[in-house]
Amino acid sequence: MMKRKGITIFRWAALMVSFIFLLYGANFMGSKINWVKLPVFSCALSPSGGVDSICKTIVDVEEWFLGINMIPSLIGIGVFLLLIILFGRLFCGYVCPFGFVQELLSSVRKKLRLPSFKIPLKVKPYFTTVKWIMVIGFLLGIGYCDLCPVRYVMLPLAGMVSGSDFIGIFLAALILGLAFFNERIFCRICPIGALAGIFNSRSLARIKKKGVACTHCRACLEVCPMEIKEIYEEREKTDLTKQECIYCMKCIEICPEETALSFELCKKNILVSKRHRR
Amino acid sequence: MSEIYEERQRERYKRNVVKMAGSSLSQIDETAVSPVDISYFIGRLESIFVGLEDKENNAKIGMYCAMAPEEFVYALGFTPLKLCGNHPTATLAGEDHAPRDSCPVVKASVGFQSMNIIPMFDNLKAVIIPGSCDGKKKAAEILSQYVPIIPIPIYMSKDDDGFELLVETYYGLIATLEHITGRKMTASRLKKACVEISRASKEAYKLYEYLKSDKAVISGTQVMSVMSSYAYDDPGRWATEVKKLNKALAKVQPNSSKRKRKKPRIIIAGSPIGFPHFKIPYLLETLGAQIVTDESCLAGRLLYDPVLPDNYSLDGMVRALAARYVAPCTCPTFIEMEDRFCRLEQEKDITNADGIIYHVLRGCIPYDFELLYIEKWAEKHGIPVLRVETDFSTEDYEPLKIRLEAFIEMLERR
Ligand code: SF4
Ligand code: SF4
Ligand code: SF4
Ligand code: SF4
Repeated sequence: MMKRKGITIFRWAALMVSFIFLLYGANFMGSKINWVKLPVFSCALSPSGGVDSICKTIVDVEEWFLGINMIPSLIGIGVFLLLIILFGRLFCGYVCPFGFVQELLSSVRKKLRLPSFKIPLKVKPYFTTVKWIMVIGFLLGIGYCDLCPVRYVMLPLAGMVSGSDFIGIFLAALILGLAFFNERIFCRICPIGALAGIFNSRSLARIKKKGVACTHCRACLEVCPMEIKEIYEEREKTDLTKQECIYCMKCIEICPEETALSFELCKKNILVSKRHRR
Repeated sequence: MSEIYEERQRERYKRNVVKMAGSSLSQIDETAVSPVDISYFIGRLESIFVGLEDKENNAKIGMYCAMAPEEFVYALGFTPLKLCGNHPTATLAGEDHAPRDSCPVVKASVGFQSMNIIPMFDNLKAVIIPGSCDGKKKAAEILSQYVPIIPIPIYMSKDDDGFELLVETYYGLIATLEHITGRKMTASRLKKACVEISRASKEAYKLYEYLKSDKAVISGTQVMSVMSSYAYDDPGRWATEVKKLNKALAKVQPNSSKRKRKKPRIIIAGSPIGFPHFKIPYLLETLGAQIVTDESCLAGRLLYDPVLPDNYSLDGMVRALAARYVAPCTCPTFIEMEDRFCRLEQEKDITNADGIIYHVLRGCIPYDFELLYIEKWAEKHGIPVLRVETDFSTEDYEPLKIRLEAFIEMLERR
């Protein structure tokens, strides 16, 4: 059977390091790095965070626009855009602390050998709708920080009081509960992920497939946290970097067919699927 | 009076099965290309079909068709037996219950139960019958006269809906097996079974790598017999034996041969080939061809796909098993043909094959349906295909030999 190695260990290590840095970094460094805004959910309301995510900058434009923080904020937005244009959603798989929390929860579920909750086939399409509604709400900035589930999870983890908006707490609890049974369920409707995902189609990080080598064994779809159907189904196209892909590499790691799936970064082959022989 | 007659008939059946099995077994070694020892596997087959023994006499659950998940059976402490029949005598006996024109595998499978002469097939708690083709579906009812049956549906399409239905079906199968065996399925039991059977799967994969290599030190007929013996062995023990064999294959030197020219490399595709129906591989290899792989669901396809669960909850494993047994299955019973073409293309490229023998069991409609498209596909890829329609009998031995000889010659001249 399958032993996870290499890339998964690296990914967990990256997620852990960035979790610590993004939650408590300012405690070590003295202050935040404020000219970088990341395409992940690292709450800007926390004073101890190492680097903020883009969210608050977009949500509360009036706070910095024409203010003293105008220049660093604009640079921050520029860095954010550059990062998503170059790497698409790569940060979701390796950096995002909220992604990490979700994955941690579902890995506890897996250790406990509890069944997962699969989203029924009929319900799946609605997730896309909700996702784009989230994006619109996010860009318009309507009360986003008050309801943001990330805040009610991240701030307490960073040792702070998170506020007491009842709906917000309820949503956060709901999402954590769901994430326990369905890996990264919030990522499916996450507005930052959705925005970064737009650039997945052209970014430097590519998931490739050699159709004829694929046996349609379905293993990749079963492990894909974003349930990207094409990764399993498609045979004609060679580039399968879908908008939803968070580059977790689970598909490549589990694929039992030699060279059927591979990952390319800057046109360099980084990872190739192979049969596990022992 | 009729009892005496039946007893005599059984004796006659017995003699014929033993004779056929014995002669098929003695042919296997003729195809050897190195001194490698496969006597463990030959010995198993011999003990069951020539010695008519059942040494362990343990409780078993039988299954027909490669789409029955043996992990469930193994996890509940029973030995899974693959019961698909391939003996001409059994086919004959089966004709008392199934129409003449139906598929020989179905006839032989029914035949073995009705003849009741193989002790290994006694002591069956139940048999699982996936409804993978019409013959199997109808066989279920006939078989229910002799043994408790568990029919399970196989859905026409491998799309998402079909898959989710299959997962539900597998849960139902677990419940039925729990009821029949009186044991409870747990995640840890199932995991153990999956791990054990995946050992077998991995060793089989390596064995086929040896067969596919340029300087194969084992013949295709030998490999197919090893695979055939899996059907009647404990998966764990079989895995250990194949591991030994693989180790030996790494060291053994090929027999010296006077042949100058390279042997034509041939893939056997089409209907299943299992012991003792080895006339095609045997003829091919004694006539100077080399079998590089096969897509028989009783040999090359049997253990090819691994079980790859996302997690080791019962649910995770049931889903992975449903995926393993059906999603990549190249059986022509599904409405999608593409998987099969891709598989063939991939095998052709990996093995550098020169030709394909397309085996159609007389009466096996699904495989015959696809022949036309396989031929078109082969033409596009520039690889010759020979369709061979036959059954388990040895009557067409001579004409078959002539055709195969001509095909091999043609490949050599290309
Ligand atoms: S509350 Fe949410 S949206 Fe607002 S800054 Fe924190 S993480 Fe970003
Ligand atoms: S999609 Fe998931 S990993 Fe990516 S930013 Fe959103 S919460 Fe984080
Ligand atoms: S397609 Fe592969 S890399 Fe992308 S999210 Fe799914 S499993 Fe991860
Ligand atoms: S895991 Fe690999 S072989 Fe299986 S369906 Fe996915 S890409 Fe194809």
